[in-house]
Amino acid sequence: MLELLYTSTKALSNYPSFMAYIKTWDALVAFINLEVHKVFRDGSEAYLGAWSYSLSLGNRVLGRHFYFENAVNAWCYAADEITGQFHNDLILNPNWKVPLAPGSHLDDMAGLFLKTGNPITIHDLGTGVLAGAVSTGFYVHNLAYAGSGRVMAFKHDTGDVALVDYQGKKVLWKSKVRPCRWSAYDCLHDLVITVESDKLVRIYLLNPVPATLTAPTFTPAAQRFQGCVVKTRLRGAHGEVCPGYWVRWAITGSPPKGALVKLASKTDENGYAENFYYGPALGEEIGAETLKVSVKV
Amino acid sequence: MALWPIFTIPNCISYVPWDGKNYFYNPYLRTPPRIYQESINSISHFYYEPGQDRICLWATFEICPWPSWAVKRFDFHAETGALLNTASMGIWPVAWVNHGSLGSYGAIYSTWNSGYTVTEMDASAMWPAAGMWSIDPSKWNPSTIFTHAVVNREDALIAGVSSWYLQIWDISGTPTRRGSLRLPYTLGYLCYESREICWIITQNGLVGKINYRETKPRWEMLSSVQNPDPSSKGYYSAFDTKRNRLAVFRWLPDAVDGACQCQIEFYRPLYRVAGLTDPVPVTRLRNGEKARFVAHLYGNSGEGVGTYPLRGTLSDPAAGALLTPITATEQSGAATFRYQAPDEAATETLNLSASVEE
Repeated sequence: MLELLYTSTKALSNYPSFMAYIKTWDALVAFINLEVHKVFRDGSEAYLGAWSYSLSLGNRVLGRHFYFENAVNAWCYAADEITGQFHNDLILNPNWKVPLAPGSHLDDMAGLFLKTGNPITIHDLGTGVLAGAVSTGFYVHNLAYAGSGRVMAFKHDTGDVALVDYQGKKVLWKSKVRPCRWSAYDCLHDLVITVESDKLVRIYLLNPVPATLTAPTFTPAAQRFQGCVVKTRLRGAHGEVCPGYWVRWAITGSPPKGALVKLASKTDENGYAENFYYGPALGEEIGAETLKVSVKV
Repeated sequence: MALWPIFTIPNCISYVPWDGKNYFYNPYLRTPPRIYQESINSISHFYYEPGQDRICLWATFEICPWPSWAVKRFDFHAETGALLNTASMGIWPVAWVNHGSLGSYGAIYSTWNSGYTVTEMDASAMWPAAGMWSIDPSKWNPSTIFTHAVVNREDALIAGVSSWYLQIWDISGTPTRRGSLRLPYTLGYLCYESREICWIITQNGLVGKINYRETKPRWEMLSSVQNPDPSSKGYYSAFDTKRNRLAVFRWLPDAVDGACQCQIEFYRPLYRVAGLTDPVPVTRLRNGEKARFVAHLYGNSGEGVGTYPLRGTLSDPAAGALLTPITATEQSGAATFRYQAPDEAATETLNLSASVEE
């Protein structure tokens, strides 16, 4: 589960049928009650005009959005970043009509179209040729831009989240948020944003909430008169790695058998925290010893 | 950018009170509690006329006396908004002509109800004199019909509205469409500012500034009138090119006694602050670590208000420290505050304020 950072105190006028983070606004464009709204993180809302009923919405590279025409195979129109409306003159896929799938991702810089579903299918925007697929293991409702070649995939009714590298065609990690009505990804601050049925805006850090710390492992095995590297790994409830957390180390025996170099160390980008253990020295008691690792959340 | 309200002239039109005669037409107008014998039925033209430095409004009235209708032209002083003159006019400038607006060479141009041309008009009569400029968009390819149009003859451009779109046409040779913009709501009125800029106002009070001279037209601003009123019957805009400000006529329903409640509002296109969001953390909150909070300063339509300084303070007793107590907003209206959390758990209140000069 990703760490919930903030819940707005203001509720939106309704939950959105689509929402995307617009980088130049540092705010969200949300489609609420068939209207275009600008939504700030604290739930403040501004009306921007009507939404054309004949159009659906998707995410575009660099933290923007675009409009689909409501057709089985659709033109995609660029969105204006002042009004949030579509530019009927600016068609992003002039050579191939994409399959209509709201919440899909359009990377017109790389010439790719990512269709929501299970798996996520990747199409060449110029020809429509299937260029690959990535399975997250769940049906994807929304694919929000999350940096160059990456999208954050969401399944709203279960809260499943996955960071997908669509250039490398692999899932980098998976986690969860609370079930929601729609989702977005703040690509400026690397935050997941959701709106639930209670119409409140919730913001999640990419850090998963730590859930398990593995038993320390020694390399090479701990021995008298020798030092060895000792490691533990911090993971979230869904196996996500937890970087940046302080792990505390302690030898529980009394008197302690051996010694640790550090009292605390930080988990690296793969969730590992490392220490160095010296086995009992000459004259010190030998035998079984217990190493305790803990993390403060 | 947003719209800064300068002043409003409330009740800018006064109806003629019922004179007690037993008229045949529109008896509802004189049925108590109503006490007037006329009411605005429709508005056809609203434009700034630089030649006489006036703002003109053309309205059709329902009246009690024969013939049951009247057409009036109201001239307002462009500087003060005061009513200068009311003239009774014939029916054709409102029945046949539609949505006059200032354009090139200080002239007034209009579309037609009874035809498809865009035509230069006599500003007082709202009717073309012999030899006045005219063009017929229905003969273009594709055939086009505008309900509102801005004419820029110096650069051979016409920005016209057809349904939900503002279309820009190059008329220097064979007319060609240069681009179009989707309107955020159904149009109330279109008006000319300059050879580059035109303005739209929607029927629900959104105001947009458009650069129509670029190769591809673009929005430069979206804002709204102050306190848009859902009961309003329409909004009409005219740009005063002498004072660089926008005049908005707000057509409001008659009062219970039938009195006219319409008003003229004057706006300057300047930054106007409508709200400041709560500061929201965008980095993790941990003991002993630095954290960042972001707040937004925004205008009437959520547009970011840039380069305003925001001041932040922590409520006493503060356990941590605000590292950037004063931060200027960016173009998006966002301002970031950095905070140093204390080593032990604590509850803090971050207060933000912006000083806005009136």
